[in-house]
Amino acid sequence: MKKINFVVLASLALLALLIAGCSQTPTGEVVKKEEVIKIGFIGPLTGDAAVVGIGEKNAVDIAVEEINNAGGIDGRPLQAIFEDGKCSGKEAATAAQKLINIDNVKIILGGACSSETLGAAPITEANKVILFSAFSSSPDITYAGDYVFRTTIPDTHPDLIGPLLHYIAENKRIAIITENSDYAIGIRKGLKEQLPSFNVDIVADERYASGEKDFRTYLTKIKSVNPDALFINVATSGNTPGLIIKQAAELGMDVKIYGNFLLFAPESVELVGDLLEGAKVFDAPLLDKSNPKADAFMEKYNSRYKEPFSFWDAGARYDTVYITKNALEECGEDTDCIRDYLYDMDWYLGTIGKYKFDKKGDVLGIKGAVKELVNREAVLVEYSEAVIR
Amino acid sequence: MSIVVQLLINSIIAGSIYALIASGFSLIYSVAKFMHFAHGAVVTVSAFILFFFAGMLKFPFWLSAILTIIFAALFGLLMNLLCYRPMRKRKATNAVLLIASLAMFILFQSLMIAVFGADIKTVRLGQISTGLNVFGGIITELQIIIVLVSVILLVLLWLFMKKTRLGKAMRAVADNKEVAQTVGINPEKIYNITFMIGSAIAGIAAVLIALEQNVEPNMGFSLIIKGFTGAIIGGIHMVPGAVLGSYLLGLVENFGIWFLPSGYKDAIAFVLLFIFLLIRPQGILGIKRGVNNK
Repeated sequence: MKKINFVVLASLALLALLIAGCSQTPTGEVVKKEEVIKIGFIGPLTGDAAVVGIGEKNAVDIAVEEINNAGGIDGRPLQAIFEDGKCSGKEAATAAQKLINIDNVKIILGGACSSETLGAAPITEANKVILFSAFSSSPDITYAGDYVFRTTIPDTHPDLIGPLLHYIAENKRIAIITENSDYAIGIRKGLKEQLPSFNVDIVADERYASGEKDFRTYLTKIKSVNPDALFINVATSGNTPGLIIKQAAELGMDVKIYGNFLLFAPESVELVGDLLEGAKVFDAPLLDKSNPKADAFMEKYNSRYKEPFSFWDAGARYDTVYITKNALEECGEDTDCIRDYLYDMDWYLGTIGKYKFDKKGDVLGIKGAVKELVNREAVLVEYSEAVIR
Repeated sequence: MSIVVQLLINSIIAGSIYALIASGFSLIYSVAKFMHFAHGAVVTVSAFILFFFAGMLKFPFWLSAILTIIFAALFGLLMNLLCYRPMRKRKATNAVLLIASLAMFILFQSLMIAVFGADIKTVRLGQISTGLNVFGGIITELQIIIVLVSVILLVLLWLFMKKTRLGKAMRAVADNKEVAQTVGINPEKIYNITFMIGSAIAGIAAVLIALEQNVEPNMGFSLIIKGFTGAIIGGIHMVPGAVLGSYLLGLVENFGIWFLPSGYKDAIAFVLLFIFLLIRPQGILGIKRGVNNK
C-alpha cells in the first residue's frame, strides 16, 4: 500500500514539473511581457479588514483602467498585481518578497493596515522598492524608510486628532479604554501627550486584549472614578465598540462618548446607534464633492461597486496610482529617481485635496475632521481646509 | 455602588458563562477521554442557528431557542457518529481525536463565515437599559437568567449523573470502559448520549451568550479557551470540578484586574492555568488516580 502511494506521489510530482515546464513562455512572448509595467499591491483582501483592502483594490482597478485607456505610460500598459496582506505584518512581508523577487515590481501600493506597511517596509527598503501606502497611520511608519511614502496623517499627529481635542476640552475628567494594538496604543500616546495642554485630566486609563467580550470590570473601574467623558479607543470595528457601549449603559454610566473613527463603523451604529447619538470621533476628512476630481471618482466608484468602507481611503488610493504614473513617466522604473521625484513633488491636486510629501515621506496638507452621530448618521462637524488651499 | 458587590456580580456572570461551556466539555472528556475542542464550534454554529430562526425566519424567541438546543444535541451526536466513531473503530489515539476535533472546529467556523458572512449578528429581546440594583451592584435581567440557568442546569446534570440509571452507566464507562462492557453497557451508545447531552448544554450556552455578546463566527474560540481553562483548574474529570473552576476563574480574573493593570486579564487566567498544571494537574476536585488513570 505504502509503495503504491509513493509511486502515485512521485508520478504526480513529475506531472506537475512537466506542466510547469510546458507553461514556460517562448522567448517572443517574454519580450512582449516586458512592455507591461507591473506595480504591486498589498492590502487585506480577506479577513476582518477585507472591506478596507477591497475598497482600495477597486480604486486601483479604476485608475489602472483609466490610465491604460488613455494610452498607458509612454505607450506601455500598467498592470497591478494584487497580493493579500491579511492585515498582518508577516503576510505583508511574504507578499512583498513575492512581488519583488518573482514579479519584479519596482513600486508597491500598500499596505492598508499599519502592520502590513511596517511588515513590508524592511524588505522594500533593502530592495530599493517604493512602498506607497494610502491608509496606514501608525506613527512608526514616519521612520520606516527612505522609500516609504503615505497619504495618511499619522495617528498621533496634531493635524489629525487636534480638531477633536477642542471638543474634548469641554470636559474636565476623561477616562480612556484602549485595545492592545499598535493603532490604538498610538492614539492613546497622542491623547496622553496632548490632553494636559487642554486642561483635561485623564482619570482612568484601561487596556484590554483584542477579542475581549466582557468589559464590566474595566467599566466598573472607570465608573468608580466618576469621569465626565469616556474615550473609546478601539482597533477593530466588529463587535467590540457595541459591547463596550452596551455594557456601560447597563452599568448606568452617564458620560459623553468620544473615540476614533472605528466607533462609527456600520456595525456599531446598527448595534448601539441610539446610545451613540451625540458621540464625537476624529476621522480622515470626507471627500469633498465640490472638488471635481473627488466627485467624478465617487460617481464612477458607485456605478461599479457598492459603497466602500471609506471613500477617503479609496480616493487616496486612486490618487496614488496617478502619482505613480506621473513618477514613472518622469523616471521610468528607476526607483532612486522616483523617490526623489516624490520628495520634490509640487502640490498635487487629487481626490482627497491638495497635498505633497515632507522629507520623511509623510503627507502635508491633509487635516483630520470631527464627526458627530446625528440620527444614526456620521455628520461632519468641522471640515479641514485641505481642499481649498 | 458598592465596588466589592459589583466585582462579585461581574465575576459570577463571567463564571456562569465559562461554566456553561466547561460543563459540557468536561462531561464529554470524562466519558470519551479526549479533548473535544469542536465543542466550541457547536456553540458557534448553534448561535448562528438561533439567529437563523429568530433573526431571519422571525420565529418566536422561545421556539427558536428550543429548536437551537435540539439542533445542538443532534449536531454533537452527528460529530460523534460521523467523525469520532469511525476513528475509534480504527483504534485512533486520543491525540488523533483531538486533532480531528480541531479540524472540525476550523471547518465549521469557516463554514459559518461562508454561509452567514463575517459581520456581527444580533438577537435581542429588548432595549438596552440600566440593570437592576442588587445589594449595591448592578445586574441586568438577562444576566440574572444566565446565572440562574447555569446553576439550575448544573445541579440537574449532577443529579442526573448521580441518581439515574443512564447517568450511572455514563459514569461506569467514564471509570472503566472494559468493565462497563462486561456488565452489559454498550459504550458506543453511552458516547452518543454523552455527546447529545454535552452538546445540548452547549446549545443552551449559545442561546444565552448570543443574547449577551452577539453572534460572530469566531465566538467559539475564546469561549472554549476559557471553558477549557476553567475545566482544568477545577478538575476536567468531573463536571462539578469544571464548574467550580469556571467560577474561580471568573473571580480571579475580575478581582485581579481591579488591583493589577487591566491589560493583564488573560495573563491572570493563564498564570492560574499554569499554576494548576504544574502543582495540581488533576484540578481542585480531581483525585489522583493510580493504575486507573488513563
